[in-house]
Amino acid sequence: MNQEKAFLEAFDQHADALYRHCCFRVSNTEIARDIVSETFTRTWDYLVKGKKIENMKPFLYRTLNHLIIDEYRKKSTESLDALLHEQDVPESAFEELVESSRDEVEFALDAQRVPELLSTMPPQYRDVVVMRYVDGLAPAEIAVLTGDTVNTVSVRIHRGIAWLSRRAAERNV
Amino acid sequence: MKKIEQQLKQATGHVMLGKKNKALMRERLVAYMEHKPIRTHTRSAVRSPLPFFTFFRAHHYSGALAVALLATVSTFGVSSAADDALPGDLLYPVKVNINEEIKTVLLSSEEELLWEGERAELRLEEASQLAAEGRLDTELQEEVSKLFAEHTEAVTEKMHAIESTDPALAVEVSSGLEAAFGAHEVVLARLIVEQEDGAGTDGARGLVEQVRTAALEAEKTREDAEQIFNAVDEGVGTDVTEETPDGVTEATSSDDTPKTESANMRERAVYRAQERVMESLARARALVAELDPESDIAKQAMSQIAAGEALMASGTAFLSEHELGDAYGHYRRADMIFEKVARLLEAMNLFSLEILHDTVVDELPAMTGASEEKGQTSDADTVRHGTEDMLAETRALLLTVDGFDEKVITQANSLLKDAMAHLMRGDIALILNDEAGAQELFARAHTQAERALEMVSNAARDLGVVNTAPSLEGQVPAGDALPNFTLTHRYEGGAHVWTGTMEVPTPCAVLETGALVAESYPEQITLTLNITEPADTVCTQIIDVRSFEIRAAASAEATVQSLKVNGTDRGWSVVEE
Repeated sequence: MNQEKAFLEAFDQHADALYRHCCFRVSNTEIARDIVSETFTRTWDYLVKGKKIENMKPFLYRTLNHLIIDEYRKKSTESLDALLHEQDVPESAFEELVESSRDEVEFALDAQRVPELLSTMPPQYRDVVVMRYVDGLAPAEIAVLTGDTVNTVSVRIHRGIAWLSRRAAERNV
Repeated sequence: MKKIEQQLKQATGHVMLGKKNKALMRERLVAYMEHKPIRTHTRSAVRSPLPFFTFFRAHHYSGALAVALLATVSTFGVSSAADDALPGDLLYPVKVNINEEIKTVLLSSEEELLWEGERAELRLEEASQLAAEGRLDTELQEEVSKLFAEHTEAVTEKMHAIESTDPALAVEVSSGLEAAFGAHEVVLARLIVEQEDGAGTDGARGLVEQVRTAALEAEKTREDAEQIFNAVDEGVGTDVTEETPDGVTEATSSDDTPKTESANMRERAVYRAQERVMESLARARALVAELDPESDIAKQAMSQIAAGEALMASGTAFLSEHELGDAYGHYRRADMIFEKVARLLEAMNLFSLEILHDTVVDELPAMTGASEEKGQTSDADTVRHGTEDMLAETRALLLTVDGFDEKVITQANSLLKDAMAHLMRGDIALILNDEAGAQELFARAHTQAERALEMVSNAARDLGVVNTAPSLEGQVPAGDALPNFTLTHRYEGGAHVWTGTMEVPTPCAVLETGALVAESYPEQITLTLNITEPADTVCTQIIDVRSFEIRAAASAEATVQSLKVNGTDRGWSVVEE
């Protein structure tokens, strides 16, 4: 199969998943579309330079991830810490929650409210939760994308789930 | 109760691009892939986007033309040898009437258009070669002039023919010719004044006028084509889809085919322009790298390259906003600057000329005895000097007032460049005793200089600089306007290095620098500068200037995305070492 055909097949196969992933991380469908489009053109640029991509999916996610980080930086509130404070969620809140459980958390989510819940989730936790549960990536794969250790990723996933669990419980009350 | 993974998947699974959006994105991607194909070893089969810009690289042909050459000319031993012939040589008729005509037969209409442009340039190249050797007499000039006129007429006719169907190509070709003819005009004029006794350059004088007319015609064609291109741009909505309330995208247009085609055309044009401007920048940089960095020529070339880079950066910013018309315009203007710098430097190497715009402007009248006729040219001189004063004032404001908006700097630089080009042409017209032409050109330069000065003065006033006469002392930008940083950049051993200076409020202040590299492709870099005061120290409030150096390991293509001082974004400009 030639590279052009393989590349377009990768587009057909992954574009929707990348868009979904991006939507929940940037909370703006138009920006998400632009980012996904740029992900593919940049990946193509990489191939044009004569380089090889062994496994297309992780490469696409990695490029997408970097573009999303770039997008975060464009925002006026810039730093993740600032976002955290803006939403009035002190870091210490997660320290308590993380102790709750390291096992698979089970609770009832209102499907209608999931996008809203995710959009209010602190980005550093939302990113890994989306990668883990929306995209189905393993913690080791996420670690490669974010440049963190597997342990850090796992901790963030658990913190994120704990946060989600608490919010879901609050809404159900 | 379902597991979290299943619940999240169910809750988010409906978010998709939508059929129409996905199709549109795919189509644009295909257009992008077509424009930037993966090249294989059979590179010659792929036509270069700019085949005919081969100024002063004698007898070098582009991909498609090389193929044509191999397919045909190789069978003719004599005609192959004729490729090196100059006007007046025995084999010259074989070169222009057989070799070049045979190639024409094999080309598509688009390639033919490019080839006619290349032929026009080849004639000027030959003329310059003859003038440099003192052999361009009137008879040979007439021969070259006749052929040059035929080629320019053919290329103009073909450009008009495609203007409505492919305005982007018409703009591309005409702006290429505009830059090329402009550079040739300077080279020929310079060759005239370089000949001590003017021997053997009579023909060049006649030709300079013809080339100037051709350059102005190319400029006019380019402007017309740009209008058509922009009309296409305005007539097409870029957003053919709408979001449904739940965020799932659906196309709302039932007839998006023509729009998609136009969008593709514009996107291709922008990407083509982007690729071309990067190539011409690399070429100009490579030529500048061969110069003594301390020489005036290198400094002038670098300053022009910096102006082009500013345009290029604006083009990229517009492209990221999907403002295709503006992106294209900025890339094209940057490309013209780089092309012209490269051509002039190539000519300089080839003919051992000292040639740059400022030098030509300053020296031409004195060297050609034009000053002897000062009484007759006083009107032109008055306008010229007035223009020079305004240019100097505008430059001084740009250099001494910090905090100008990037758009103002870009537009002012563009006007300065145009004004200087018209001044230079006016000077050449004076050499040729074309008083009326000189006056007209000086008047154009005057208008452009006026506009530039007005724009920069207004912007300076907005920044709180009340007196527009620039002062280097005690000038503090008003309000929150913060000055731009000027960073010096070099790339060495796989790392980018930026150096510069920064004012800190006290001698005790600590300046910490850093670079954050986002490992996207290409990498995007954020430079950080943080000033902190030691907590337990009382320090005199005297501004201190610190030098800094920031290093970041990244590929050569990496770009600086932002510069932050204590977390706040600041403007910056980069000067290459």
